[in-house]
Amino acid sequence: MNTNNQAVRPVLWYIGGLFALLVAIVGITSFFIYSDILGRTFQSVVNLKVAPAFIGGRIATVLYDPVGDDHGYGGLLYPAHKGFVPGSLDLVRCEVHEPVYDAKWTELRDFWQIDLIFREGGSEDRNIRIYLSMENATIDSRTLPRNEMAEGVSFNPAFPWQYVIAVHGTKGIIESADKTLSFPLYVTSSNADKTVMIRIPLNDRRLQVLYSMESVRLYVLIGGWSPWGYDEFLPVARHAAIDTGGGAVSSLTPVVYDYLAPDGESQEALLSAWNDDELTVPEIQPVTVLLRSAATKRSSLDSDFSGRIAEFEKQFAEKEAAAAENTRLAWQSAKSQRDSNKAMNQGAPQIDIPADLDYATLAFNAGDWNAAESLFDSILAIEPDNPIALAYKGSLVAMRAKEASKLMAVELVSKAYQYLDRAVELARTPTEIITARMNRGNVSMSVPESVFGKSLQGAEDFIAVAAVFLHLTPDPVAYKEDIAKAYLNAARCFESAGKPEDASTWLFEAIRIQP
Amino acid sequence: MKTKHLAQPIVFFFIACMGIIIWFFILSGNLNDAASWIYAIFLFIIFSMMMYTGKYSKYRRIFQVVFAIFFAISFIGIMIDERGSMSIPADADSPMCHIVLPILLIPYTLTKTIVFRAQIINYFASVVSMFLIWFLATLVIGRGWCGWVCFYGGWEDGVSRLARKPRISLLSHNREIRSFQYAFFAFIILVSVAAMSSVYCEWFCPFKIITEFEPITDPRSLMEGTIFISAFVGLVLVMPFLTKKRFQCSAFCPFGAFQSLADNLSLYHIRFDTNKCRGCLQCVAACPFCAIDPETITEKRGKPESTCAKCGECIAVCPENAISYEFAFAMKKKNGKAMCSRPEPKTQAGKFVQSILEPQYLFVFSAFTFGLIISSRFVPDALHRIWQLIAGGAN
Repeated sequence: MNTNNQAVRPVLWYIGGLFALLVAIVGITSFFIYSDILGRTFQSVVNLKVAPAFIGGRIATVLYDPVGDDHGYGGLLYPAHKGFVPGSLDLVRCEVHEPVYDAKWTELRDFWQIDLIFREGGSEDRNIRIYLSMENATIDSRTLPRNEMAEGVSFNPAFPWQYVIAVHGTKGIIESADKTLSFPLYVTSSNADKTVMIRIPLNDRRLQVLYSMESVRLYVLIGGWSPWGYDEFLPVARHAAIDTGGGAVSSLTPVVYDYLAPDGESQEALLSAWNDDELTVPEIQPVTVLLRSAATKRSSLDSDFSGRIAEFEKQFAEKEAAAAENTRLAWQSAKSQRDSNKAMNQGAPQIDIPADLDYATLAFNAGDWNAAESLFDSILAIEPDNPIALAYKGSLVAMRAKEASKLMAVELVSKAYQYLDRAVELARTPTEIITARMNRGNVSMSVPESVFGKSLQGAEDFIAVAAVFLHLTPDPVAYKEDIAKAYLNAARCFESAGKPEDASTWLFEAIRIQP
Repeated sequence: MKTKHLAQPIVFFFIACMGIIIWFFILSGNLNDAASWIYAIFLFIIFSMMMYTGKYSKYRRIFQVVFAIFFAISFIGIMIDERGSMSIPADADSPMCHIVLPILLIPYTLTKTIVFRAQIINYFASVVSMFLIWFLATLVIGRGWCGWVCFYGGWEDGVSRLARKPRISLLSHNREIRSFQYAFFAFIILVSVAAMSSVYCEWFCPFKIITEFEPITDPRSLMEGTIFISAFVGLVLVMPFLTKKRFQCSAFCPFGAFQSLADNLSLYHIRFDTNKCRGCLQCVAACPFCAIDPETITEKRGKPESTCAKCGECIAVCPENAISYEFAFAMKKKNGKAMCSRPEPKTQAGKFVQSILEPQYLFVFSAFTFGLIISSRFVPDALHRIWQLIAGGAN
C-alpha cells in the first residue's frame, strides 16, 4: 500500500467524486421530483401523528349517524332557498375528545372539544344544539329546550340537561339551564365546511367537573338556521319555501332535521312521536359518550374494521362469482352472434356506438381484456370523447400495469388516469357518471397508495357513485346492493388513506344499508 | 481558486446543467408567466457569474438575501390567503420550518407523536417533506444549508453587509459564541422535552414577526410577542449590523447547532491548505459564522471549527488560495491521514475527469440546486403579489 497521503487509493477518490457528481446533477433533482412518492412511502412506514394536545385532545368516543337521514321525523324537506346546500344538515359523525388541560399552541389552554362532521359543507345553514346531561349535577336541570317553542322536542326526564351548546356558523355559546353561566365558544369549520370543531373553554370551575367525569350524555340536534325562527331554528311548513323548510304534517312537527339517536333507537320513530290530540311533543333520548379510556372504548366498528370489511366482501364475492359465470356465457353468446352477423353482412360493418359500447362492456365484464380493449379503441377512434369508452380504456391500461416492470407500471397508471380523469370530466348522464367514477375508483383502490396517493380521490368517486344511485335513478331501492358496495369501497379507500374515522363512517353506512 | 485556472468547458457544462434544472423547476408549466421568467433569468445569471468568476460567496449572498425577502413576502401572502391574517387561528395547522426539526426528535422518540401542530403530509411545509429535505441536505451539504439555502439567513447576511466595519468585534469571543449556541440548543431541547412542545417556536423564534404569530389576547401572548419583536430587532437586525456576523445563526439558532453536529455526515467540508497559508487571518475576520478562530490558523488545524456553514466567505478573501471545498472522504483525519486523496493526473483525460469532479463545483452546484428548488415556489409568488399590490394600488 502506498503510504503517501497525496496518492492513496485514487480509485476511491474517483468513485467518491463520481458519486458526488451524480448526486449533484441528478440526485437532488430526482429527490424533489419524486418527493411526493418518497413522502408517502416514508409516512406509510413511520406513520407520524401530531400529538393530541395540539389538535383538540385524544378522541374519546366516535358516534356515527346514518347518511341521508337529514329529513327529521322522516319527511322534512330543505327550504327552496338556493343557499341551502343539500346534505349540509346531515350529520354523519360526532367525535368527542377527552377534556384537555394545558393544551399547546393555542390561546385556549383548557378546553373540551367536540367535532361534528356533516355530509356537505354549509355551516351558515346550520343551527346546532348540543344539550349536556351530567349525572349528579349540582345546578338546575331542564327537560325542555332552552326556548320551549324552538326545536319541538322534550328530553327524557331521567336525563335532563344542565348545559346547552348553541352554534351557528363559527359563533357559539354555552349556557347553563339556570342561565347563570353563559360564555362564547371557539368554533371553527374545516374540510370545506363539512367539519365543525367546537371548543368549550373549561376555565369555569362548574365545567371543570368534566375532567373527572367518566361519561356524559348528549342530545345532538341539527336544524336549519333562520333569523326569524324560535331560537333561530328554521321553521317548517307543509311546503318548502324560500324561508321555511317543508314536509311538516302537524304544527307539532319538530324542526330538527337530524338528530343523533342512541344505538337501537330510530331517529324517525323518536322524532315522529308527537301527539296532536294531547298536544305533546316527542320525547328524545340522549347518547352516552365516554370521556376516558381513549382507543379502548371506541365504536366496536373500529376495533374490528378489517374483519368487518372481509366479512362484507365475502358476501359480495359469493354473489359476484355466480354473476361472473352468467356474464361469461352471455359474452360467448353475444360474440358468436356478432360473428355470424358479420359473416352474413359481408359489406362494411355498421357503426352503432351504443350497441358497440354494450358489447365492449360485456367483454370487459367477462374478463376478455384483449377483445374489450380493441373494441373500446375502435369506439374511441370514432368518438374520442366518449366517457364510457374512456373510463373502461383507463381501467384496461391500469390493468396492464400489474404485469409491467415497476417503472413502466408508474407510466401506465399515469396514462390510465389521463383516460379516467377525462372520462369523469366528460360524464353527464347517470350511467356515464357511474361508469366513469366506478372505474376511476376501482383503479384508485387497487394502485399502491404510497406511490400514487389516490385513495382519497377513490373514496370521493365511490361516494359520488352511491349518490347517483340514490338520487338520479328512478328506483334507488333496486340498487341497494350497489350502494352498499360503493360505501364499502369508499371505506376501504379511506382506510388506505389513513383516515380510520371516515372509513368507519362509510362501513357503518354500508352495513346499515345491506346488513 | 479562480476560474481562469480551470477548464472553461467544465464551467459551461455546469452552467448548462443548471439551465436545465432552472427550466424544469421554474419555467416548465409557467412559460407564460413573467414572474417565473424573471426569476429564472436571475438564477441563471447568478449561477453563471458564480461559476464564471469563482466569486461564490458574493453571488450566494445576493441569492440568499433575495430569497429571504421574497420568501417573507410570499409566506405572509399565503398565510393571509389561507387564514385572513398572519396570526395563527385556534385550530389551524402551522407550516413547519426546518428550525423546529431537531426539537421534535426526542419528544417523538418518547411519545411517537409530533409535538407541533403541523400537517404531516400533502402540504408545502409538512412534517414529512421537511424531514426528508433536511435528511438529504444533511447528507449532501451539511451545515451548508445555513450558508446557502436557509430562507431566514439572508436577512442577517444582508444586514451584516450594510456597515463597512464591525462596531463590535467578536473575534476573541468566537469560542464562547459557539459554546453558547450548543448550550442554548441543549437548553431548548431539554425544556421542549419537559414541556412536550416546541418551546423555541413558542417563546424565542426571531422570525415569528415575518412569518406567523399567535394573536395577542392575554399577558402571556403579549410577553411572547414582545420577545419575538425584540429577538428579530436585536438578533437579526442590530447585532448583525454591529458585528458583521450572522449573529442569530452563530449564537442562537438551534437548527444551526444541530446541523453543526450532523455535519460530519455531509459530503463536503472546507479545507485549509496549511502549507499555503501565510497566517494573515483575513478568513478569521471574514467568517460570518464565528467558525474560524485565530488558533484555527496558528495551530494549523487544516479546517474550520464545527459551526462552519460553507458559505465561502473565507475562500473569497484568502490571498493565497489556501482555502477550498473538499470531499469529506478526502479530508485528513486527526492522525493526519486521509481515507483517499486526489491522484496526480497523468493524461489530458485524467485532467478533464478531475476537473469535472472538482469538489468546489460539485458543492456549489448542489447547494445552489437546493436553494433554487426550495425558492422556486416562493419568489415568483412574491413577484406576483408585489405586482398585484402595485397594479391594485394603481387602480
